Amino acid sequence: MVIRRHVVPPRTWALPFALLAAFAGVAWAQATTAPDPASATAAPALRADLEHDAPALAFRDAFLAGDLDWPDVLERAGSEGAVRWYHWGGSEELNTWIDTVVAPNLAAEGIRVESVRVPATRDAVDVVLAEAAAGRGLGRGSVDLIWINGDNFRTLAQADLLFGPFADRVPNAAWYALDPADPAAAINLFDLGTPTLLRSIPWFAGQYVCYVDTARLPLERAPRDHADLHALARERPGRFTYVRPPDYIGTAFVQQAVVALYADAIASDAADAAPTLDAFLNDVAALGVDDVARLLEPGFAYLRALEPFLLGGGGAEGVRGAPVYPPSAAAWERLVAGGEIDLACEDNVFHAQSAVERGRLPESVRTIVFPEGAMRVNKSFLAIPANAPNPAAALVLADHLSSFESHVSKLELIGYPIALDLPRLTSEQRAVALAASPDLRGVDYDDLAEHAAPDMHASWVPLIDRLWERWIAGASPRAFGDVVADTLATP
Amino acid sequence: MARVWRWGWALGATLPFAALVVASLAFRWSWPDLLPTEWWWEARRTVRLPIGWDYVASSASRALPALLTSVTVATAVTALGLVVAWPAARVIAHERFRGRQAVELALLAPLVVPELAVALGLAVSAVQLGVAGTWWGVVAAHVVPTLPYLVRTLAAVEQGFDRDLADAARVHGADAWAVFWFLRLPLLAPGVAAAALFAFLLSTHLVVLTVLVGQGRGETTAVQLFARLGGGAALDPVSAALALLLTLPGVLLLVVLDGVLRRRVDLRGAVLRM
Repeated sequence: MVIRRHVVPPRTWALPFALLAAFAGVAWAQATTAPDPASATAAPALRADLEHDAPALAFRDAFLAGDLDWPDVLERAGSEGAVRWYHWGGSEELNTWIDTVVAPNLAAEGIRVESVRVPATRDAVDVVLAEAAAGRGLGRGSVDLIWINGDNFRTLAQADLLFGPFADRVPNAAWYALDPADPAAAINLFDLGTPTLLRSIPWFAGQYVCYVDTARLPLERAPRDHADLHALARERPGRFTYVRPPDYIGTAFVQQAVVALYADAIASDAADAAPTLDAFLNDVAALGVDDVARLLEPGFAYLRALEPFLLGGGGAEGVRGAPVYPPSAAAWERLVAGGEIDLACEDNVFHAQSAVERGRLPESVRTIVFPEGAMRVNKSFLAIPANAPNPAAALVLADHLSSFESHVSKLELIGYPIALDLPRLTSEQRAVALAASPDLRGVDYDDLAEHAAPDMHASWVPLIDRLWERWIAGASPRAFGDVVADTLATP
Repeated sequence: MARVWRWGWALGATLPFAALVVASLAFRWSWPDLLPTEWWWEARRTVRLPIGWDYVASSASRALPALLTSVTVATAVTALGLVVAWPAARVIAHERFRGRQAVELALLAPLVVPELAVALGLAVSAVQLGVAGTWWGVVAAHVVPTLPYLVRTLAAVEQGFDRDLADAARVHGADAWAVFWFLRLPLLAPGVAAAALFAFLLSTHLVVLTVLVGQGRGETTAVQLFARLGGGAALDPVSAALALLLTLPGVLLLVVLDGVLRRRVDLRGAVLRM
């Protein structure tokens, strides 16, 4: 056995590891101070700060210039071989439909569909932003197609990270009114008020509908408008609530109350030179503080008056309980399923039917018309990021998903409404669509069309969310106008 | 008395799982019914698209690939984390040097900063380094938030190690490898195993970091579960099934570690002492 000279060795060898670990810690802390890519200033056309793949860039320029025929696009798509579609991954119906219907169809054209299921659309947007921040341009990113709308679309538009205009350049564009001069085109050209500039193509047609459990609330007592709802809530305290903004469904409920109550207010004193309802369709930034407060106050006052009669709300005027606002549409649905409340809403006219079919709601649930004349409709879209790795395959998938056959299959299998412009269908196609349509559970297409109303401009959304948080949830004792002024002053 | 305690423990440990199992097998189940009014196996033939466990078992759910990703990533994260954190913990526990407190503070930084705030910055770095969307990129990103837990735990474990024993062994001719293999490892194994379990469990539960650095590809079970429940949704049958799957790796690891260590040391005792 050899006796070593250093009987007790120095223990400093481990120090580098400690420093390495410490470095990782510092890097983590530093990463928080990294500039937010969302705030990067927008550049015109394709962002110059990104490094683009030359052939992909040449393809884009030729496609946008109209120099390519569709077979040329198909050919390049085939050579790209794959397409990555990012979409919300929380629906087993949608996941199954994509895997069993869309993927095989595209595989037949030599394109592999990689459906990437993200917890929220925001995550897909963040991936695009992160790659752009790292300088990845067209042909070099990792997101080809996103199912997107609202805030998320606006974020990509502001960062100038959208491919296009393409919506009018794919074969299935013929299903949509896309001419800005055509009033019917607005729903296809505006995403919650943000002009799409043809950088996204409609894919989902939303309409805000509510449903009641008729085992607990007979259909004839279901509310038709907000006054009815208030009366019903007083009569049956604790049997209603709505989703907490900024959840999309909750914000939509507040938006509808705001529009409906303001409409009532101007109807009752017509002499006043107040802003018209159209103000909600335009950018809120164009309005003064007083006008904004005037537009919003009736709706917010209504919601405040409703609060004591909500689930957990105390049950009587002046009693401040602890109203329960569910965090999401799914939680709202659960309250109806458990019989705790009578009514909830969704953004899909077939929602009640799908939920009953899949065991989430009881058979006694019926869809209702509420509020009359103000059931807002909007579309959500498919967009291609400006740094898509496979732009041609993305175009082919977007076009495929815009086909009549694909929309009918989606309607039939998973109850997602047809987003094509219905007047453009032939009578045979209409018959096919009707046959494929799930049950509307209590309403019909005429009701839905008659009571449809346009959606607000997206710029109202963050303002309404913050005001709700302060004035409703926060129960601010200050005058509504002051809170509006404050909120507008602090971006 | 001891028996009552043991049964109490067993009940407390299994009751939440029993609820999950029932929820995963339910078709119609809502308050106030104690049990589902309609079960998965009664409804599965009448509903068009697969429901409950049928969906989880179908290839469309990708539940099994995701579980595999969870396990392989967490295993690699644990191994890599130990390689980095153990020596660091050893220095923190035994050495006194200039700047030691600064090093300790930096090691704790990931505890202070929330995952969400840092994920985007790390995602940009990952893209620049070319590891975004790769298995290794996700592993490397996961190591960062596990480090403070590993270092803190292992530093406490290291403090319990009497270095005179190592010196004695060296005097008798053992080389560094032998000291590690025959002395340090067996003595510290329970504590190290507990630390490794923390790292493993933490890795299997990271969502935002996984999505952004992994670019949504390489879904893990936690990501799948979060996609369904993130908005505060109800525990539907598929979510319940995914939640059960998510607990599997941790439970299996606990059982394996327990089996390996049982002959020499009491792992559970070590965990309780921490």
